[in-house]
Amino acid sequence: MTDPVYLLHGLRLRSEIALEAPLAPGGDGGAVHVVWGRTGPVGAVRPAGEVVGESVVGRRRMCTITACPRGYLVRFHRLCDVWVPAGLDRMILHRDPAADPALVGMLVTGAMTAFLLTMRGTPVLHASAVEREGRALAFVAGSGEGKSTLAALCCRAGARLVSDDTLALDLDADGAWCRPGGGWLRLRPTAEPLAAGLPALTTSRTADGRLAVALEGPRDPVRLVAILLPAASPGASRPRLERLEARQATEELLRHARAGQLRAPAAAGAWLRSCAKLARSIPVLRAEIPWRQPFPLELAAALFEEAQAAIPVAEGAGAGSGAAV
Amino acid sequence: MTQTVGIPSDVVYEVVDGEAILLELSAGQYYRLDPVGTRAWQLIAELGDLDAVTAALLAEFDVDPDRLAEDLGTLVAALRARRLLVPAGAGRG
Repeated sequence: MTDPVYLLHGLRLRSEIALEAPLAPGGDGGAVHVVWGRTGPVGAVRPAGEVVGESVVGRRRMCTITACPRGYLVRFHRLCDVWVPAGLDRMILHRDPAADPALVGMLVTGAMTAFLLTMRGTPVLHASAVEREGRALAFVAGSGEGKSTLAALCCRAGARLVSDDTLALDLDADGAWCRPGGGWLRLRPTAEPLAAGLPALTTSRTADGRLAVALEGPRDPVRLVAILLPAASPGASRPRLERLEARQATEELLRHARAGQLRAPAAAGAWLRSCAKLARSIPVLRAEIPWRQPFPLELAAALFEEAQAAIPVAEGAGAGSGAAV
Repeated sequence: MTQTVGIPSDVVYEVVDGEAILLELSAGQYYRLDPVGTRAWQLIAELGDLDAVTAALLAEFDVDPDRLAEDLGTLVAALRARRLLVPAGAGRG
């Protein structure tokens, strides 16, 4: 039996493990093969090899990436080891017996896909993005800082979801294009009430306890017209946006690599150049967002209005259907 | 000041709006240089030899040579202390 081929952020994945991602049209040419390896204990210590990336939350090490000439070992502590050969064309998943296979699937569609894309030179932001009339707004922020909530608010107001949590970009001479993600918006419990107003195709519960809402979205890349760095402001009455200078914008974007800060010089250099190019070509706006529940439906419209007002006319009118974001 | 320095392999940089952003990968720190520091950095990257860098800066800026030598020495010492520069041939991998 042939394993299904999925298309996620422009990456084709032929996978033994079921993934929450759209199926890819066509064959499996060029696909990354995702296969199960052994099942056995996965420790909480750094694996051997040169550490090229690490994610730490508080004092707890969540993920460590080590490199050797044959490839990379990505250790999600106590959950899963993922071996990626140097050709970046396979993921071999060694699962801890106690790890939920569905959670491993989320690692594949999230952190691992971001890692592979980044190592292949594609910039991947920790961001969610929505599209309206052919143009995309991206919300760039850390975990739990409102990306999905803002995307949900915008989708309730008529925008379409481009991607949630992971945003892969193609840069060209004029700017950037957002690659569509998997079509799922994942809401934490505090944001779940927003799901009621979404045009959901279906819903489910994720392995990490979030409400996943499947939404119809664009199938082709969407022109990115602005990047917002949201800051929750309970006392504000409407969104207030301020454009950052390119240098400051570069520094902000640098902090929001979806794959974390990789120490591999080639990947880190490419990431730095991509952030600088983005900061030069796309408005990066610090966005003070009124943050109190229930969120008014008008918030999304106000956000779009403020974003449009902050984008210089020449940039705002550069591509797409000519309509305002 | 006959001395040659180089940029380690685990330091990457990009110039944005005339100011260099330096990323030191082993510690995950980044730094910013002002426009004059950025010009010095670019010349260091290009030439390595600090005498040659001094001569190039003197040709570009109207500055007292002693003051320039002192300022460049201070900058290089600060960069070396943060492992953003190393003696030539001592590049870390």
